[in-house]
Amino acid sequence: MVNLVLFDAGLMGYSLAVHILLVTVGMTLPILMSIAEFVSIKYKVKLYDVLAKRLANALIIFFAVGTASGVVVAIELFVLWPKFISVLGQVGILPLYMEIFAFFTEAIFLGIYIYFWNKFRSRMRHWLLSVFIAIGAVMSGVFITMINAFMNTPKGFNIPYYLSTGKIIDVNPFAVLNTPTTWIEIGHVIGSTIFAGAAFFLAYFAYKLLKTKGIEREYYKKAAKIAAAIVIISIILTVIIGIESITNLMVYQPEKFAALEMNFNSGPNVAEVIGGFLVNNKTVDSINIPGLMSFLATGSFNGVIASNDSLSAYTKSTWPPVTVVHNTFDVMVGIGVLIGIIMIIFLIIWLLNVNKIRDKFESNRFFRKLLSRKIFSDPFDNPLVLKVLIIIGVLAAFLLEDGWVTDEVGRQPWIIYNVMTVSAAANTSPSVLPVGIAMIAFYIVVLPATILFVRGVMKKRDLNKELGAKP
Amino acid sequence: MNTYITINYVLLAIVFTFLFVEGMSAISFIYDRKSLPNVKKYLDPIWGIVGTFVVFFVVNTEVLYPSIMPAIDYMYVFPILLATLLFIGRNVFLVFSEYIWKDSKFSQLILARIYSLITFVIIIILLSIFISIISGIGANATLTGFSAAIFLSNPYVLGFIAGTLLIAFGLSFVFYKIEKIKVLSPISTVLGLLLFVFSISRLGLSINYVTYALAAAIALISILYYVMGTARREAIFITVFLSVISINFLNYGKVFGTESLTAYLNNSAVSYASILVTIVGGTLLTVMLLFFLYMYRLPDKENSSDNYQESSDEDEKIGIANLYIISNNNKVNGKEYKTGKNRKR
Repeated sequence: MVNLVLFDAGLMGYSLAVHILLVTVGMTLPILMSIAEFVSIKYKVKLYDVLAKRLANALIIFFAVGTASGVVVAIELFVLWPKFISVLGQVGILPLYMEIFAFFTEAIFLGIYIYFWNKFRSRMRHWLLSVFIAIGAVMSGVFITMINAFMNTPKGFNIPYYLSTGKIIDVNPFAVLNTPTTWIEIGHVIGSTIFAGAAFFLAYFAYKLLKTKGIEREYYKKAAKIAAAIVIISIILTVIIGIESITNLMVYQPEKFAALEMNFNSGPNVAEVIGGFLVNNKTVDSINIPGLMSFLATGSFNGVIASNDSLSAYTKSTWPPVTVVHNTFDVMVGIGVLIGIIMIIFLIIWLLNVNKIRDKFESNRFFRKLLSRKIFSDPFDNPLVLKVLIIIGVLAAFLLEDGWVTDEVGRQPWIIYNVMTVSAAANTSPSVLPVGIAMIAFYIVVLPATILFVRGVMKKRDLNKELGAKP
Repeated sequence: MNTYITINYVLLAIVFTFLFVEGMSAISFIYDRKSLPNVKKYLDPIWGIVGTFVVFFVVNTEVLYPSIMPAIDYMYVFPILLATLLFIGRNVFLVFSEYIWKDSKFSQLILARIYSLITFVIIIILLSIFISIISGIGANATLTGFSAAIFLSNPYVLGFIAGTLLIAFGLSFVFYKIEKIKVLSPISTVLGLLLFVFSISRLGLSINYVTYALAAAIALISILYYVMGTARREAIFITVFLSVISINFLNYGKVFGTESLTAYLNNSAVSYASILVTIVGGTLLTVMLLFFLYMYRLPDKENSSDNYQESSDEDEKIGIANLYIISNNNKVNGKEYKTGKNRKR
């Protein structure tokens, strides 16, 4: 017999994993499109205008699939976790309700932006729509993250009373908008989503830069520059907010923090555990760096780690799968920081290729010699750099999924931290099975089909002709 | 009259209005392929908004009656998830039909027809869930299980669904200006109306006759206008809206036949907060929809100096809605529609 709780969790996790990828594209595309259209209007550069229109084409297709996928996730949330949604409905549903209006903003303005493009006399007014589309897309993410923050740090009702009686009293529906983790989580989620989306597009543009010539290449270079700028800004912000969110975890979700760090120690000079496995409640095959956790948490190698930031303080039955979340966490931090460093180096090289800056440096003989090396050439013309950008694009998608796995699996066995377990919330009706399996199969087809379709639409249109190049 | 329940009912009416009109488009695609340009002209800019309204209603219901959700989830998990799954198909095939290139293996018409079939099934599923929730038919006494056999063997349930579809078929002639055997329009609408009202009364649900008579009158006037040569789309919207409102109010405050909806209402704090959000969000939504309507009715501008010259080749135009490409040059997948009295492909 199939474990229906596990099936529900697997189906939800799978749908979310696919949906997250679509959201990533859906949130980043309007930003790219908006910047491209603004530049095209401001500086009257046709390449940007063509870019904006092509991105708009891709956006409407991804929006169609993303919207449907969003509905699937919303409905799954309702039907797979009825008891959770019942509590959420009585306490913290407002962000989900507000998200609808953000969703409307995106859908209505996107409809006007795309379908009534030719009806606008002022291009600036038309561009304004893209700003609203981007705001709508980002705000949808903000509101949904609020729900996730509520699941991590519930607030807004009398929790001890609920735990003892099962009844909800003292409700403050607005408290869910500002839990202790809300704003940190929003910063980290939105930053990382935009980063992953921009990195994905940067990888695509980098690939095209390796393959194209002439005006077409010029077009992809301009596109790559916009995407690269977004990647650099967003990865730096994501890493900074990520560090802050770890500190936040220590205070508000200490058990999760202890699991992510696979930490059994407290007091001063606590070692950072990197990698490894948990065998019989002991860490094996890990790299331990003495004092580093104390340093990262307090700024001093002798800083004290509180006893509740250690797994020893909790019964094993409430631990999440420690080995899994510890390693997904380490991978996320490791790759995230590595990409951050690479993109800072990329930025420096990019800036050194800006004429005014390069001229200043080249007046010095040492720098002139240094800058003549190939690594300091225009990064958008350097095949090695472009290949690195393609790898970063793939890693970014992996990183995003990895981060969500860390967050969600790290909260297990709770669906609402310390309030309701996943098994208590699940719908155990066997009817879930057939349609759940169909949903998994359908998703497997839909995502690649959409990507292939967008590729087909783009490929069938002669870019050179659109750019006005002579045949 | 409870404010929260009324808001939820009005929302449901709006959702069903949009879905009904989309259902009519599905019927039109299946019935007459020549309806494609007219249907897409309406459908292309609005499909995203329709989907959002569905989510709006679902979340509003959750906000207002969270404690009823476990019962609905357990009983209707299969049809709800199935409709959701089909909803992805609806979006995918609709947008694919819009952007499909001319030498593709799949023509715009085929994709549009697949979309239609999917939408048609979705509408039937939603109607079934709706009538079951209102009447309680198919639901067991403890509200923990649903019997499809009991539900489907009830002739009045089938009559309700068939009546609704017949009305949709009849009105689709007017809404999408279908020319093929126009006489079917009034016949289907009148038959549908009769079957619908009869089924509802036999299901033991009382009907708001005033609202429904008004809706029927508007529908028939619309058809009359159409037969005389002037389609009245707005009237169709009003008809459907009033019809749905009348269905809602026929069993006002009741769910599963006998249960009081008021008993399931959320706590006052969340309900009050939801009203505030509804007022603010609803105002913004109204403004946005009015702007959308304004743009919908605005004619295309001539190329202005601050715009780049568009390519004269229509295939080169970004899919700024193929609807304009179609309506301007009568091309579908590169093939020309002949215009005039004997319009043939």
